[in-house]
Amino acid sequence: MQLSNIRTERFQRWIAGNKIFMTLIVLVFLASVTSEYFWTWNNIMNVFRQASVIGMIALGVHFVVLIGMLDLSVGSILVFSGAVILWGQNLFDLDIPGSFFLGAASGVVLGSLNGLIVTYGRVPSFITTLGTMFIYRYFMMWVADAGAVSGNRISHTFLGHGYWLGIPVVVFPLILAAVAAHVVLSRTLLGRYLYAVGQNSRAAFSSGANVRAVTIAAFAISGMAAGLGAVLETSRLNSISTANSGVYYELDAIAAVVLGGASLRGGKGTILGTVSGVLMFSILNNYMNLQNVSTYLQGVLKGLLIFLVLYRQNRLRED
Amino acid sequence: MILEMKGISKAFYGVKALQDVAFDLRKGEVHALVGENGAGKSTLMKILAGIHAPDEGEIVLGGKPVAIGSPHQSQKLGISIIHQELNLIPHMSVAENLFLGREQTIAGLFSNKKGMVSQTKHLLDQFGLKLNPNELIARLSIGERQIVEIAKALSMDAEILIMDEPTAVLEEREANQLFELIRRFKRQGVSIVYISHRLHELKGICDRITILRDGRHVTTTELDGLSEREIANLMVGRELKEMYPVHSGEIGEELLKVEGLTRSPHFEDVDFHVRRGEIVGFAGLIGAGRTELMRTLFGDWKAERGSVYWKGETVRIRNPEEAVKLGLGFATEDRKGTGLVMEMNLTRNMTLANPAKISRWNLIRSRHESRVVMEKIQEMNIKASSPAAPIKNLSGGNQQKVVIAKWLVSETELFIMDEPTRGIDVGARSEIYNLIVRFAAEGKAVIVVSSELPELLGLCDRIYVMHRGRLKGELSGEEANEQNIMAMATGL
Repeated sequence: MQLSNIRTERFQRWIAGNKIFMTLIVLVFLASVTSEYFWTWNNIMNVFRQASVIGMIALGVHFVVLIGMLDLSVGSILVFSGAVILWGQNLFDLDIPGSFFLGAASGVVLGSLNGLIVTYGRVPSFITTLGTMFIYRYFMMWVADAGAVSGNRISHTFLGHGYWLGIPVVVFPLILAAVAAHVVLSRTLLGRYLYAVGQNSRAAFSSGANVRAVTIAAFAISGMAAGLGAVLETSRLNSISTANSGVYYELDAIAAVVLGGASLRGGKGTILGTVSGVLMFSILNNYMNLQNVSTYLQGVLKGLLIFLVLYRQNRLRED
Repeated sequence: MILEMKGISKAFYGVKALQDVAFDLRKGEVHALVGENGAGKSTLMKILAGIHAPDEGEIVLGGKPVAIGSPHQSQKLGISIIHQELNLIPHMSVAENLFLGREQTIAGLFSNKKGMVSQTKHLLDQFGLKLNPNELIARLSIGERQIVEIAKALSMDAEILIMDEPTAVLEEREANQLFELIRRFKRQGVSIVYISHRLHELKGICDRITILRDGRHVTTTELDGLSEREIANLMVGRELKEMYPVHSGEIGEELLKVEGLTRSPHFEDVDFHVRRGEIVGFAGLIGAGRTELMRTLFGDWKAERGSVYWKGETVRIRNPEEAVKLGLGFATEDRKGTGLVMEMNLTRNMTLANPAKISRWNLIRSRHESRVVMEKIQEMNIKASSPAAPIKNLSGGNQQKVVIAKWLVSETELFIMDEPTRGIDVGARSEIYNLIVRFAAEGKAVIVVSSELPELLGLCDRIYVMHRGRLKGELSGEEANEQNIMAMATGL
C-alpha cells in the first residue's frame, strides 16, 4: 500500500514535470480520432521520418539553450557538413559509417569554432552564430557556385529510404542520439555542469567549474548534431543544395526546444521535452497534409501552437 | 496605538508559518521584532507589507480595520518595508532607483532628471553619505546599496517603516549613522519595526520588543527589563551555551604566504601568511578591500602584481578552478549570487565543487553521491526535507551550511569565508563557529572575513586589519580588542 503510494506520487510528479509529453499524447489521440489515415503504421513512420533531421539538430541545440545561449548556425553547419560528406564519398569512396564520422567531425570543428569565439572572444552567442551562419553557408555557396553537391555512392540512400524491421532506417540514428543526449545530461559531470552554468554561471565558476570548457562543449555538441543531421539530410537525395538546404532549420530546432519546455534563459529542459516538441511539429505538419491544409497556412498554425503551448505552460507554472 | 495585528495565522502548503500571532505598534516607537530564522518574523512583516495575505486575523491601522491586498496598497497606507534581499536595479543610477515607478516628468513626457538628482542628493545628505546620485547601483558595495534602499523607503513618506535586518550588511560606522537617523525619525513620529539578529544593537534604539518562536508569539514587553542573554534564551526556548567554542589547535607549518599582492584601486602591497591549524581574521570597513583581496587570491580576479606561495612553492592562480585544485575553498559573501545555484537541489549544490569525488570516468556515481551527501547532512545537522530538496526551500542558516559542506566535501585545506554568518540566527551561528574551529583543529586553516568584531575576536588566532586597500597591521592575543581594531580600521 505504502509502496504503491510512493509510486503513484512519483508518477504524478513525473507527469507534472513532463507536461509537454502529455500534450503530445493528447495531440496524437485527437489526430487519430479525427483522421482515419493518421494512426496507421506507415503514417506514424512517416511522422518519425520527417522529424529525423530537425530532431537531430534540435537535440544539439538543446545543449546550447541549456546554458542560456543560442546557436543560429546549425542550418549552415548542416550545409557545410553535407558538402564535406558528399565530397568525402566521391574522393574516398566512403560508406555510411564513414559519412557519419565525417559529418560529426566537421560539425564538431565548426561548432567548437562558435564556442571559441563566444568564450575567448567574449562575443554574445546570438551575434557569434549569426555571423557564422552567414560565413559557413556562403563559404560553401562560393565553393560550389551556389549549386548542389552530389554524391556517387547509391548505397548511401539506404539510410534515407531503407527499412529495417519495418521501421525507416533514418529513425534509428535519431533514437540513438536522443538516448545518448539524455545519458550525457543526466549521468555525466558535463551534464551536471551544463545545468549549473545555465542556472548560475557565477556560482559554477566560483565553485571551480571550467565554464569556458563547458560552453565550448555545448557548442561542439550542437555542431556535431548538425553534422549528423547532414548525414540524414544528404541520404535522401544523395545531394545537398548549398543555397536551399537547411534554410530555417535553426529556427525550427529552437522552436522545438522551447516548445519542449526549455527556458531560453538556460538551466531548464529535458531531452524528452525536446523530442516531444519535435514530434509535435512533425505531427502537426503531417496531420495538416492529411487534411489538405495549405503548406503556408501550416506555418501560421505552427506559430500559433508555440503561443498556445507556452501560454499554458506559463499559466501552470504560476499556479 | 497606530497599528494592531490580532490573531494572525498563515500557512504555506500546509506548513504553519504563523499561529495566532499578535503585534502592535505605538506612534513614534521603535519596536524590535526578534526570533530565530523561520520563527515567522519576515512572514508577519510581509503580511503587513501586502506581499502575503493572512489566512486568519485582523489588521487595524489608525483605528480602522484594513485589508492589505498588495504591496502598492501597503505603500499607500504609509507602510514601507526594507527587505533583506535588495530590490534595486543594478544598471540604473541611484536617483533612477529612488524614483522608480514614480518618475518625475516635465509635461508628462520628459523625465525630469535634474529634479530627481537634486532631491536624491538632498536625501543622501541626510545620511551624511557622499554617494553620487548618478552612480550606477552595480558599482556600489552591498552596504551602500542598503543605504539607497532605506533612502528609497523614506522618500515615500512612510509612517510605518519596517527594517528587516538593516545592519546585517552595514559597517559599524554606517550602522551608527543609521541609528542616529532612526532616532531622528522617531522624534518626527515615524513608527519603526526593527528586525535584527544582533541583539546588542537593540538596547540603544528600541523601546519595546516582541519575540516570536516557531510561528508563535512568545512575549511583548518593554526592552529595559531584559538582558541580551534572556532575549536569546526566549528566542531559542532553551539555555544557550557559550557562543564561541574553545579553539586550541596546534599551529603547524606555513600553508599560504602572500607578498605584495596588488590590484589597484582595491588593494595594494598586501603581505600576509596563514599556517595550518590557524583561524585568521580580516577586519576592516566596507570598501577596505578585503572581499576584493580574497576574490583575487581565489583567481576570480586578476592581480596586477605580487606573489603567492602555497606550501612553500610559488603558484599562479588564474581562475577558481586552479584554486580549487590546489585545495582552496571560498564561501563568498553573496550566498545567492555566487555561493549556491538556487534552482538546483541540495545534493547537486553540495557536490558542485568536487565532481571528481562523486564520479568515475566522468560518469556520476549516484549512490556514492547520495551517501557522501547524507553523511554531511547528518554531520552538520542540516535541516531539509530530503537530500533532493530545492536549495531555495532551506532557511538561510541551512543554506550557509550547504555552502560550507560543499567545500568540506571537496577536501579543502584553506577555507576562505567571507561574512560566514550574515543573516543567520543564533542557533545556526554557533553551529557554524563549531565547524570552523573543528576544521582548523584538523590541521587545515581558515580565513574569516567579517564585519562583526565579536565574531572575529571570539574565533581568530590572529586578525589582520585593512584600511583603504592597505594592510594596517596584525593583532593577536591581548592586543586584539575592539578599540585597537577600530582604530586601525578607521586609519587612526
